[in-house]
Amino acid sequence: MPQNEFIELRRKRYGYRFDYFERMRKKKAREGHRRASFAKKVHGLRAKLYHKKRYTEKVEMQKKIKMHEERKNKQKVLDSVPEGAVPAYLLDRENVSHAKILSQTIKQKRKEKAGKWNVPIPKVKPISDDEMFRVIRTGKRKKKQWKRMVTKATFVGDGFTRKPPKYERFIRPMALRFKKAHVVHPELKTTFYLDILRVKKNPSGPLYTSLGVVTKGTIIEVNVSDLGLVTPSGKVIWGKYAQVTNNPENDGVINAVLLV
Amino acid sequence: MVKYNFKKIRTVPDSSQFIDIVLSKTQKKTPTVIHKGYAITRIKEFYMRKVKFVQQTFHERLSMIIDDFPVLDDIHPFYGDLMNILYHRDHYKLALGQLNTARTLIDNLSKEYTRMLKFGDSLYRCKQLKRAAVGRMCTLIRKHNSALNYLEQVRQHLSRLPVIDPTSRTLLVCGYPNVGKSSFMNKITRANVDVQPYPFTTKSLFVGHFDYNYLRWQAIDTPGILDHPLEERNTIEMQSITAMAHLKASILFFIDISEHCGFTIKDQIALFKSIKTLFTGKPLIIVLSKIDLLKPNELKEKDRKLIESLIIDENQNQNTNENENENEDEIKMDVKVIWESESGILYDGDQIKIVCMSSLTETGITLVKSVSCDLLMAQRIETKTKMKKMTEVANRLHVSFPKQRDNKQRPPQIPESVLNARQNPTDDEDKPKKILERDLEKMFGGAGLYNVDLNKYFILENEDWRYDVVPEIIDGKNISDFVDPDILKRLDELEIEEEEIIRRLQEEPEEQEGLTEEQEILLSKIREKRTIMHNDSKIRRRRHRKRIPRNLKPEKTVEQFESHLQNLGIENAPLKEAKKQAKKQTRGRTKIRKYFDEEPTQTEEKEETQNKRERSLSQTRSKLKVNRKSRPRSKSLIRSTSVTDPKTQGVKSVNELLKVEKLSWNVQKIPNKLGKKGYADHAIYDTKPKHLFSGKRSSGKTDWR
Repeated sequence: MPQNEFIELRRKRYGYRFDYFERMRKKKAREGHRRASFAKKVHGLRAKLYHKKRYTEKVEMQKKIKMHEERKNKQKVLDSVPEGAVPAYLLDRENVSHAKILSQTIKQKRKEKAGKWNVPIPKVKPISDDEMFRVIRTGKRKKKQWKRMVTKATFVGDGFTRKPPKYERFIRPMALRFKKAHVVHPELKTTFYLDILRVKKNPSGPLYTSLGVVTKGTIIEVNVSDLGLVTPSGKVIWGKYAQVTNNPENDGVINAVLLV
Repeated sequence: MVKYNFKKIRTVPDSSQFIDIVLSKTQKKTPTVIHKGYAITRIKEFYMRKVKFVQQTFHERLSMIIDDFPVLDDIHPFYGDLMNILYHRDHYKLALGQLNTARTLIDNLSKEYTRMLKFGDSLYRCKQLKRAAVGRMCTLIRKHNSALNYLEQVRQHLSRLPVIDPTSRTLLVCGYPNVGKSSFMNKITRANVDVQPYPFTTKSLFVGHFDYNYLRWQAIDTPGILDHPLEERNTIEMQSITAMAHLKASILFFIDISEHCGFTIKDQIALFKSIKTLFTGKPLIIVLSKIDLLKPNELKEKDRKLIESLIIDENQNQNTNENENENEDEIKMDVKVIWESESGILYDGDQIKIVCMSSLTETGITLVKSVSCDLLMAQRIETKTKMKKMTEVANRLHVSFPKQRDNKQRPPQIPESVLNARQNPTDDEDKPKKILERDLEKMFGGAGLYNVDLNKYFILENEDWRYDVVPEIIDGKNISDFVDPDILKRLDELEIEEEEIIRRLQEEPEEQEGLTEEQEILLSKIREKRTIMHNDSKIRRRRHRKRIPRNLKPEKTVEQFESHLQNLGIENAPLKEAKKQAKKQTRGRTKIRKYFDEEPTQTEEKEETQNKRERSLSQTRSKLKVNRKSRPRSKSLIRSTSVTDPKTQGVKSVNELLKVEKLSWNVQKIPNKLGKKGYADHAIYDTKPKHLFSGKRSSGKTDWR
């Protein structure tokens, strides 16, 4: 026992206070009441936090109780072998129901029909020019209105240089330019933070594709050279498509799913 | 000097607490109401403020943690090493480093998101961005939960570490486990270290303080150590090793000569030899403990040899360091441990001392303490004098001796009686000792039983009175109120004073006589006048006097004016003239008539003709107007009006007047009261008016209710 642990030292030398255990018992017994009165009294943000915490605690508690309770529903007694039972290796595999086959074939066909653009988010809300661009007034009297600023997240390649401001029709603000995306590999169920190579297609229009606007549902090409994927012929794949699954302008990050 | 107090480190919350603290603070300290109808700039600002505030509070709290914890490289190496042993240096640094990076990451995050918020075009988007920003900051902190928990544990342990000042005078008690280190510690200080009959009772460093030679010393009790290589030592042992390595203290190495601790003397000597390198340059005392069980002179020859070998080794070391040419055999001969020493010091060398003691019988404890303290003190003084600073101080010091004027010897003059007394101190014993009250108390049963006889020392006229009973109260009166030994003297004094006062009073009125009767009259006149003037001005300057309208003011008569002038002592001839003229003047109307009557007789021709023409033309109305302009208004006397107070008008009797006054007073009561209203009368009649706290509050409604 180190120096300065006075309570422990006292207990070691002289034992507990004469009423220690009585007090502890009472304190414990009153705890429920104390908590209840507090729960009634508390209000505002604190109440919200408190009740949430208490709720999770209670759920935990009930789960635990349930785990230790005796099961009411009767378990099947596996000991008795039903009549006419067949061992697994003799199970008839030919007897697949006709309906099942039919439904499976229909599903297969549908899948094929969907073609190669079978992407996680097939339908995308169209985005109008109004939403996409903000008109910037120029000229001495702020009369001209031919300039636009993109208000969505964009990808701008490394080699890009701005045109002289006099001729620049579309402005892509620095704050909304992104270089990397969080890409989920759907099979591995893991996320990688990968470089964006280019914007393959923005479903809202070719103009947006050429501008490199990244909105929800946009197909982007990402650099997967770090993942070590290999083509059947043995070449290392370094570019792969991914679809954006969130609204980057709202979240401040780009999340995407790798198209495998 | 830096004081090492780690108690001031503030608590480190765990990650969920941390987040709660920050978010609720943000909720409290930033505005919370926003509507989509607001101007977009306002909405942006609102959310930017939130993001920045969260970042700021995170930054503050994190830097608080980082600054509070000591930097291992900056603190004294003793504490640095101790912390390394207890908390693992790398782990400690890593945890703080993680928090540091978290701080910068949070700063960057907020910068990035505020930049993005600048381009927000709707409330929804701004809100989403804020949410993302705050969420990311919180996740960052949540990831560092383990670091925060670790730091909190370190803080709790650190704050309970004994406060050791590594630079002050220190005794360091060390040795094998269970050799009596802690019991010695308990004897010299009040540290109250736990002492048990089994080894490894003490598991950490303990500090106690004591006074020696009017100075404050600290003693450090270390956990016992076994003799094995440094790599195999555990945390408990390493603590004592660090203390030995880094503290400039005098080392008390305990050896249990009775071997009751379960380790042989040989083992203990071996330990000493293995850790000897840590003691170089420090005063070293070998303490042979538990001599109540085995006296040093009862030691076996083998063990004696072992202990002697210690000293030989030490001396050899010393000598080989200094000059290698010396003959070693010669030195060996020097070693002489006096095993039968009565004083308790068995060997008194320059480098090493051997002292024996027992904490049970308390023999030799003070000896050990004083020997070790003296040794350390001497060493400290020596190092201090060798320091550079010392020369600076020494240069300033100068001890001057007076020049000798002759060769005469002037020894101190001591009286012969004193010399005699010094030479024969035995003389005093023959004299009967003075009996003190203390002795009497002892004789008659000690404190509580013996009562001090105070009457014995009374100074009285008659010796018979000494033990007389003196009553305090007689006839319901306190005697001490009436007892005054020199009351007659006081009375005489009073009488003399009275006489003096009477004499003085008789003399005084003659001096004050002065004014003649005439002067008295004048004086009274002056006084009268002054009071009148005073009263007049008082009336004039009354603050709330009734304003009398000009036309109601009593006119001033000539007589009044005259008397006024007379009072001032001015004789005025022009006034008399004016008076005469005024007497001549008759009624205004007649005067004008006269003027017209006399018209033809006027001397000036021109005027005459003009008037004539006017008069002739006075038949038509228009002409009459012109005429009036030129003609002065007829003078008429002002109608006399009786001056009456509007209050008294229409009042028949005095009673009625009183009634009226009372009524008017009542009317004035409330306005008067309101006029005098101060801050204390401030009252809110309705703190929550219903109309402001009910109903829907859609956009812009608040201001209009």
